[in-house]
Amino acid sequence: MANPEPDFDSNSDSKDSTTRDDLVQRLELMEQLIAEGRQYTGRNAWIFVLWGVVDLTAWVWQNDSPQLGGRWAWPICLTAGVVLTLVGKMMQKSDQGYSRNDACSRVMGVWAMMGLAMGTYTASAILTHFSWQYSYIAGLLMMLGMAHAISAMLLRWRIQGLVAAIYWAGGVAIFAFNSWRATNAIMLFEMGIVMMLFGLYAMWREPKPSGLKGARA
Amino acid sequence: MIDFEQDNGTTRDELVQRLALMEQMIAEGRKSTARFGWIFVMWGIIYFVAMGWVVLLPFKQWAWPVCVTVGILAGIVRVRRMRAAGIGENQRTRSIGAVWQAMCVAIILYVIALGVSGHGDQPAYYAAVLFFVGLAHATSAGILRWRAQGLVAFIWWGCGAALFFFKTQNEVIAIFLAAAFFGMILFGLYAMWLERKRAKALVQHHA
Repeated sequence: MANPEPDFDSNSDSKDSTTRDDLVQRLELMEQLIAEGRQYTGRNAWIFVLWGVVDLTAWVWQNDSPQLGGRWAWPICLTAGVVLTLVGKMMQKSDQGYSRNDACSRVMGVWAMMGLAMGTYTASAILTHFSWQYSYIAGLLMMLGMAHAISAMLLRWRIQGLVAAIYWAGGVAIFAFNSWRATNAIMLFEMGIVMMLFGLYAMWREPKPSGLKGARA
Repeated sequence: MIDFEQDNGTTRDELVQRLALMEQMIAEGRKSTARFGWIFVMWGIIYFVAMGWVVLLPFKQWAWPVCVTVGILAGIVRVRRMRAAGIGENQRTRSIGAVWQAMCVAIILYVIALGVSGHGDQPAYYAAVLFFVGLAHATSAGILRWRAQGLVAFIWWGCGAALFFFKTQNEVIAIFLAAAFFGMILFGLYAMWLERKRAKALVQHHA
């Protein structure tokens, strides 16, 4: 680990000072960081499940029971989702037995920023009554896809990359079908089912801390 | 970071080494962003040119496709040259690359799908694009722990939110150009200035 950033140029002096053992150590460290990052995602996968349930509840409330204050469905459910997420995270903080490394911090940063961006975007659209526009709904899916794609690339996790592609495809499909019925179906599928399924998959796949060997696809 | 209680196999020296490695990666990630500062300046200028074309010149419908294509091609050529010149990469710089790649894919898919379906006049469209760029800046700022870039992210998000409230053509153009100027051109120039300062310091150090 003497030279953390080796230079492989033939005219470089650092080539000689980097031994094979150093490189193997670095590789192992990187693999461990990635594996811990995935474990961190798995540990927090309940948030995906929670938001899947929140979105489904809001959707069903708005569409099936509009007489019960349907226009308040999304603001109330989104607020409840934020509160439940914060409470869950606070309860989790006291939990011991897991380490949080650099890769975890980066993944956490991606989702924190996505939450902030989405919160501002959604609040602005709801306040100005633009949340009915196709471009707004497609924008939500594209933003979620972007966060999944970044996380997938950081963790070299193909399944999450596939989830990103599904979100992006949903965003494009909203414009392609150009109808409210299709948009509702896509939203239901993406925000409810895909979100929950990925959360359940990540929870099921979450390795135990002692079992960390390295990142595998 | 790692907890001593739970990670008994990790010695203090190993932790210090890991910390040093991470700090170096953050520094190299910032350096890499500064080295690519010209991209921000270039895209800021492209936005101004495209907007100017839309407002002042004929064949308005070609303004954005032509300007964006020129920007993408110029970016690819320059980045390839820089890579051929041998610019080092580490995990942190690759993470930053991942952020911008994801943003590019999201924006390209979104804009093309929206343009083809004819929804390009909706306020949420402009706002979404500004939020995508802000999200990329915010994520990069989080990874590099760089406050200046975090501020840029807030500028993009602020302008994106403002687009929902100010809807006339002149207001939309003014907000978009303000975001491009402060969030692209000024930040790019700042990053280039940092890179030049670093290069100067390196030369003085070797002298």
